[in-house]
Amino acid sequence: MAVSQARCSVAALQKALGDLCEGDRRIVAMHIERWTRGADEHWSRVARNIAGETALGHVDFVRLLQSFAAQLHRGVAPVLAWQCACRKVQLVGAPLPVDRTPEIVGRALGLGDYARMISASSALTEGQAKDLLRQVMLAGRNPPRRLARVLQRAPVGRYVVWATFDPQWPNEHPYGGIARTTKFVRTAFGLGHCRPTDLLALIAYRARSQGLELRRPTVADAESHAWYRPCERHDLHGWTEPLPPNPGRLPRQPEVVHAELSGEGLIFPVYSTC
Amino acid sequence: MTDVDPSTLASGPASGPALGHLEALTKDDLRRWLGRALRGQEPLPRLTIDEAPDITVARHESDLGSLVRKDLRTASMELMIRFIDEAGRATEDDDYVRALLGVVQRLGVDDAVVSLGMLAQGERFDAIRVEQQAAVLGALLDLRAPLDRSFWHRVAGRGRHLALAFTGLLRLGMDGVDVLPQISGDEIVADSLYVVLSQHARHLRPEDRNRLVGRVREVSGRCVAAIGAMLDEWLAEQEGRAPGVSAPTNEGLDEALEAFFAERHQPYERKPESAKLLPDVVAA
Repeated sequence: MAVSQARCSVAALQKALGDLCEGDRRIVAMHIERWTRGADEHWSRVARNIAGETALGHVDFVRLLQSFAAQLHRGVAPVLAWQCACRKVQLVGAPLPVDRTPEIVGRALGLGDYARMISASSALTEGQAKDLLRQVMLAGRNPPRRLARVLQRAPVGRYVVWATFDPQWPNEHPYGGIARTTKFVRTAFGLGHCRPTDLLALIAYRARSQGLELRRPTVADAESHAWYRPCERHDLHGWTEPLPPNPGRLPRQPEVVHAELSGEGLIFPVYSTC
Repeated sequence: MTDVDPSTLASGPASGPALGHLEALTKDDLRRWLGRALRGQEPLPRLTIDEAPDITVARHESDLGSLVRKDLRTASMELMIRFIDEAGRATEDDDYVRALLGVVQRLGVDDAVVSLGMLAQGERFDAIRVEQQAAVLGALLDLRAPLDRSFWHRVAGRGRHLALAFTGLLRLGMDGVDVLPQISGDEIVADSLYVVLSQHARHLRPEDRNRLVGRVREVSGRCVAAIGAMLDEWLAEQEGRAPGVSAPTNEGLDEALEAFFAERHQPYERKPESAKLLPDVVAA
């Protein structure tokens, strides 16, 4: 299965390269090859993700590579050129069918980062927002009404928001039934740059009843993030790859992306890792 | 066919995800890199893909050598000075300004307090975007900048950022409450003020909290509807507690423990460890 998948994916990249003009094809292929064979493990992984991509449609894949080539021709550094190109082709993965859209999705994010978003959408400083967040986390299912409303006005993420859901219980908080430790979350959700001492906010919000369009993530949504993993062509959504060594054999988790969204559909409790 | 520009190859993936590559940069290059990074133009080892860049930089900064850490502080101060110098003349993106303010706070650049305080007191402060003014004032509050009453009264007098001015004044004394009737806010502002008041009251001694309650009661009738309703709600909550009894500091913890045990279908009984939590003891 893995072999046929790899063949199929390389074919997708080759097919997209085949639709570029000669100059674009040469420069793009050269840089992907350079990254693949280079000493930088991170960019080698990004290059393998590009080669293994299965979620981008052919037209969008060509558009991504054309944009990458255009940046490179302008003399932009390859790393930045890739990032710029990706930002022009985001949120174009296949949408999840409505009948397969979970009612509740969730995501993990840094406490300070969430406090920043709360502060920007209220009249609170970041320090006050962080204090509020701790209070809401401790309050469990029923935070005071006004505190809850402050959070519900804040966005749940920026730009392209990556989220997960419980495939067995799609109407439940995806972090409700798991060990809420940073170690567990970083491993299961493939958060490669998360440190064991980072505290995470684990939030959940309504998707289906809010009419939120969830899409399958693509290599363009991942930009320079090396922890993205292309999955099977027929998958409806993405899957995380648990971080090694994963001694507890934690299973992979579903991944979707969506556009920026206010926290109107936020549900409580808001959990924290420990 | 377009020829490949060799200069693009030379730049390569030098700036990979780890910040170790910063060790090799000159001070000027480091400042330029930080400026681009805070604008979201450099790949960074982010915890989540949308993490704010200053938070990522600060999280990984401790892994760097002492020299480059010092240079990062210098670079962030230089960028801050440039922002202040150009305030009102150049338009900066709001996210960049928040990231810049965030990086000087997170890296502990103490001198930034003075520079930001001077910016906030100067004439050009009014020329920067309102969102950025709010971010600067918020940073000054979080940095506990030693700004006096007259500063916060001036902020309040401009008719903007009244909720932030309220926080600044409240920290300096009870007369901060006098700003409340000036605030013509909606539910969004009212909810934020509720948070500010509750957080402030939590840290007060019982007698000071009672004084605060009294001052709030005096002004609540003069506030606009949304703020007045919020204050009435806050007063009712405060007055629901036994007189002279401080807010139980483990209230949230008790609720979290109750939720935890409820999930496991087990009872949880609150057991106050301090006589402060027992109104009967206080009354006696």
